[in-house]
Amino acid sequence: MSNEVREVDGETYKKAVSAARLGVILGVVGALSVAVRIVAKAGTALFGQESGQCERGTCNE
Amino acid sequence: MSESLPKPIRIFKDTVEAVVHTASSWVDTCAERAVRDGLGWVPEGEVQTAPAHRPNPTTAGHIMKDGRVTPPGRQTVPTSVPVSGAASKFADTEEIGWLESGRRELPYRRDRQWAVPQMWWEMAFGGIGAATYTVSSAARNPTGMAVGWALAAGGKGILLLADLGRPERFPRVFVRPDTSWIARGSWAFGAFAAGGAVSLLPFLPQPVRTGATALANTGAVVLAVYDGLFLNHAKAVQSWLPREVPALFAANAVQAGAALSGALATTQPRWMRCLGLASGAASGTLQALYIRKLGEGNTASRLSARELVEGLQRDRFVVAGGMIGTVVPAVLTICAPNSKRARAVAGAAAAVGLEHLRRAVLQAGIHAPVIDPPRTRPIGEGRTN
Repeated sequence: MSNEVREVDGETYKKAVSAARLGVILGVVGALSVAVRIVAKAGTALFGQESGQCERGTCNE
Repeated sequence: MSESLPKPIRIFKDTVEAVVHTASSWVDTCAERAVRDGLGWVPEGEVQTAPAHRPNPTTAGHIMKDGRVTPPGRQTVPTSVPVSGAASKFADTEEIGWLESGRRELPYRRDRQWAVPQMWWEMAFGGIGAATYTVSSAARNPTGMAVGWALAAGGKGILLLADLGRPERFPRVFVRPDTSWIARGSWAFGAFAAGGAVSLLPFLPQPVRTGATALANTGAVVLAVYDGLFLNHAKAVQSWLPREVPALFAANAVQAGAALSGALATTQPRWMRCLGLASGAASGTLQALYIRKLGEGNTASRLSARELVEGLQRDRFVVAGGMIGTVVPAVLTICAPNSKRARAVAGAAAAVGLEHLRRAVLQAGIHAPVIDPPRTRPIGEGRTN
């Protein structure tokens, strides 16, 4: 990686950090959504369908 | 003081503190590293002041606006970046100077007592866990109930115990529920934790589980609004006093609960989608009303509004709390109601938004003096409206 340091004005730096922060937050959302899907699948395997789902014709059978 | 604690309790407290501090500073640390190490950008003036050493936010301490230096790896806000003090819709340059100068004789200062990582994580776990449990129990979804219970009872419970510190304090938090929101919250938390645990035991008879679910739901409703009401009673911080704060926290919790509950269910019923959309709309409206109320208030309120809309907390309050936490789940609910992947993204976005919103409101809290310092510049100088 290049060690060259470029000085930018405070506003530009702040905007770059904000944009990078948004990217990190979106990455966290993506990782969390994968975790939510895994938990949902594990929960369905453990507890079964929600009560009443099959009666309403919306279960995954 | 912590040295006199028994060793297991001290280790537990230190571990919890380290985890929540790391989790809280991780996003900011990654963002700053991406800009500094990835792009090689540094803010103006930094190279001249420290030519031989480029500070790394993960290893070097930050100089905070109030002059304190945070220990390495414990930054909560990247406040080494100068905040533009020139133009603001909410405060004039003199008022901004009262907050930003860091001079001790100017008593406007950001709250550092309640605005700590334990507090916002506690609030986030309690809000989303309680709401997820309640919405899931209405949808008769045991997965959502279990996850909601684990988030609130487990996440919030661990943080509350670590925050409490000494074991002998435990019985005291239940005393005087007639006057103290801490005691009311403790009773609600106890009812939720006990009732929720019993309601999830499949071998118990149905009437017992139904009664336990009702008890847990009663506690969950209090837990969802409790944080805002608790902040409402911290009279020293102006921005926590408006009635919009508990309403905003409650609407935001219901929206996140509906989104996460929908993500954990096999199918999301229409009423749950409507609940998510309605509470999301309420949350967005209350955010706007809250900012308007702060903007019409005294200097401390307006400085808090500036923090939330233009300053250090903008990314959390507007972008993460408003856009990612409220708009993204609503759009996904409308556009892809039957997609499990979309519901998972909506649930995750709402959860992230809820945490950031509470953090922003806490960190934007500003203590005000009884009397403003004497002015040296005309009132309104530097305001853009």
